[in-house]
Amino acid sequence: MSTATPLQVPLRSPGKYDHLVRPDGLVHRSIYTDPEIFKEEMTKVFGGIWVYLCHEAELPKPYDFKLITVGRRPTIVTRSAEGKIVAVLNRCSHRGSPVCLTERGNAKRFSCPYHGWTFENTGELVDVSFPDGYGPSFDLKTRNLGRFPRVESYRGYVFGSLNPDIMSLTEWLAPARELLDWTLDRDEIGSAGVRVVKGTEFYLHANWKQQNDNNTDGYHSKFVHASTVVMNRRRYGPGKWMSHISDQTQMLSMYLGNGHKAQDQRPEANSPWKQARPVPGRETAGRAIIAKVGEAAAERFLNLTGRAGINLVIYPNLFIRGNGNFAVYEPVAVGRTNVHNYSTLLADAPEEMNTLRLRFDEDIPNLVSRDDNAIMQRVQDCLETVPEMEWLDLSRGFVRQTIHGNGAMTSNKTDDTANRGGYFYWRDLMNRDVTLSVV
Amino acid sequence: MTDLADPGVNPVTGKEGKGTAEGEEVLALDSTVYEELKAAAIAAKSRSGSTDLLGAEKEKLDAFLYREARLLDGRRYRDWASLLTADFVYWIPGGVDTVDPRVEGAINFDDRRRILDRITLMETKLQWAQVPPSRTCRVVTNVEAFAGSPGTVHVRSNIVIWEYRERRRQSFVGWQEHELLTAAEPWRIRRKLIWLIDCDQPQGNNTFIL
Repeated sequence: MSTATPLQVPLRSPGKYDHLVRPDGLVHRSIYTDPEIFKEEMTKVFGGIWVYLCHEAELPKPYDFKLITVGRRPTIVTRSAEGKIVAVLNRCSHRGSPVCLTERGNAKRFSCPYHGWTFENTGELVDVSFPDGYGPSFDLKTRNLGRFPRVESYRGYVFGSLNPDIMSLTEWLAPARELLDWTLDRDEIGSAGVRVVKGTEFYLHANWKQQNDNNTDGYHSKFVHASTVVMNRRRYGPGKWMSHISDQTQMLSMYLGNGHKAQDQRPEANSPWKQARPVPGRETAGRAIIAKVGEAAAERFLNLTGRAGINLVIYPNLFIRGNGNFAVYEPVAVGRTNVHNYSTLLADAPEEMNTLRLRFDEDIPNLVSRDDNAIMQRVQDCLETVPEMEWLDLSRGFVRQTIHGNGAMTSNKTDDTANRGGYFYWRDLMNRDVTLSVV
Repeated sequence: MTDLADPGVNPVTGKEGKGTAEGEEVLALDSTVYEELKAAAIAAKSRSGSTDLLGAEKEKLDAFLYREARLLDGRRYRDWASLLTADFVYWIPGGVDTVDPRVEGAINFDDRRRILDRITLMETKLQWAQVPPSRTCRVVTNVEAFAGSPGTVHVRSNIVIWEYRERRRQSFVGWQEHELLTAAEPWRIRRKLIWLIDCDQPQGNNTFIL
C-alpha cells in the first residue's frame, strides 16, 4: 500500500535542481524567490510545455482577439479567417513595439503605432510604410509576428507551446483526463454551446507556485479559513461546505502526472446546491428554475452551481474548480502573480442557473480566497528575507501515500502528496534543456 | 429533492440546524431587480446635467456621505449595516462598460445577506486578511445629487480610499452612486454602485467593504 522509498517518477532527469527539490519533499526557498530561476521558468515551464491560453468561447468569430501574456510575453490570441485559433507575439518585427493596444476586440489587421507596419491578425506582415527605403529584396514573409508553433485545444480549452517538439496536447493532458472529463461532462446538457465570461481578478505579492500549491493544499482549510468555518456555522448552521474540517476523511490529495494534480473533495461534497452558502438571489433563482423545468430536472441544474467537488490543477497555470469555474495564473515577476477567474455559462440551461453561477463564482474569491492571499503574501515576504532558514517542508503524507503504476500518487486530502508530486515534475522539467522557437 | 429552504445535513457529522441568518428578510433578486440595476447603472454613467439639489438639501446629503465614510473608516460595520434597506445591493462592476451583473462576474456583488456574512467574517477575529484590520481613510468629494422617484435621491461622488495594511499602502479610486431613501428619517441606503478606475484589472487583496 504505502511506501517510504524515494519516488521514481517517469522521465527522471538529474540536474542542478536536484539540490533544490529533495526526494523526501523538502523544497528550497529560492525556487520562490530567485529571479534567475523565475527567468528560467519563463522558458522551461511557461513556454516549453503546454500553457493554457484562453477558452474557445472567448473568441467566437473569425478575427476576434484577446491579449494575454505567456510567461510574461505579450501575446495576441486570435481566430483566423478560417476559424483556427492562433497565438502570435504582440511585438512588432520591426523595432519591438506592441502592435495591438486593445485588450479585446475584432480586427482583421493590426497596424503598428510606431512606424505603421501592418500585419494580418494572424501575424503575417502585409505592408510596410514608404517601402522604397527597403529595396526590392526586402522579404515581408520573413518578418511576420512570431507565432506559437503549437496551439491545440481540448473541449474548448486552448493551450499553446513555444516548444515545437512538445507531445500532443491529448498526451500531455492524459493523466488528468478522467477528472477533467468528469468536471466537463457535468455540464453536457445539450450542444448549444457555452459563454465564458470574466470574473474576479486579483494580483498577489507572491510567486505563482504558491498559488499553484494553494489550490491542492488540503491541510490549511481549517486554519486559514477558520473565519469562514465559524461564519458558516453561525449564519447557516452545520450543513454548509467548510462547516466541518478534519483529517478523518475520504477526500484525497492526488498527484496525477505531467505536473497535473487534484484534490478530490467528492466524498464530502455530495450536494453542491445544499452545501452552498446562500448567494444573492438563491431562493428567487431556485424557484424560477423549478417553475421552468419542474422539480425533478431542477435538482440537476441547481447542483451545477456551487462547489462541484474537484480542485484540479492543469499544470502550470489552469485551475479548474468545476461547475464552470476556472482560474488562470499569470506570472508577472518572481514575487508577483495575477489570478484571473472565469465563469462558464451554458446556452441551453435556464438563465437563472447561469446567474447563480456568476454569484457563486464571486463567493469564494471574496469570502474565502482573501485569507489565502494574505497568507501567501506574508509567506513570500518571509521567504525573500530569511536566507538562513532554507527549506519548505512538503513531506506530509510521505509515510502513507500510495504510488500507482504510472507514477501517480494519492493520499489523505490533508497531505502534501499532490504538491510534492508537482515539485518532482518541476524539478525534472527545469533540469532539462529545451529550445523554444517561433514560426 | 429541491427544498430551497433546506440548510442541509453535514455529510460527515450528520448534524443539521439553522443559523442566525434564518428569518432575515432577503432581497428577492429576480429579473425585474436585475433590469432595475442595469437601468440604474446606465443612468449613473450617462448623467449629463448638473446637480439637481443645492443649498441646505445638498449639504444634508454631503453630511450623510461623510458620516457613512466615518462609520466605515471606523470599522463600525453594524452601525453602517443599520443604514441599509432590506433590498440593499452593493455592486462593484468588474468592467468599465459593464452595466448588467448577469453579463460577467463582479469585483463585488452583495445583497444585505452577503454583506452580513462579510461583517460576521470580520467579527470572528479569525479572518487573517484583516488581522490586523486595515486602516482606511475615505476621501469623498465631487458630490452631486440627482432627483429620483419620489422619496429617492441618487447621489454621485468621487471616492479615494487609502488603505494601510502590513507595511503597504494602496488606494482604491473611482466614483460611486448611492441610491438613498430620504422620505423618512433615518435615511437609508438602497443601492451602492462603485466604479473603480481599474475595475477591469486585477485588484489587490480587497478585504474590506468599500
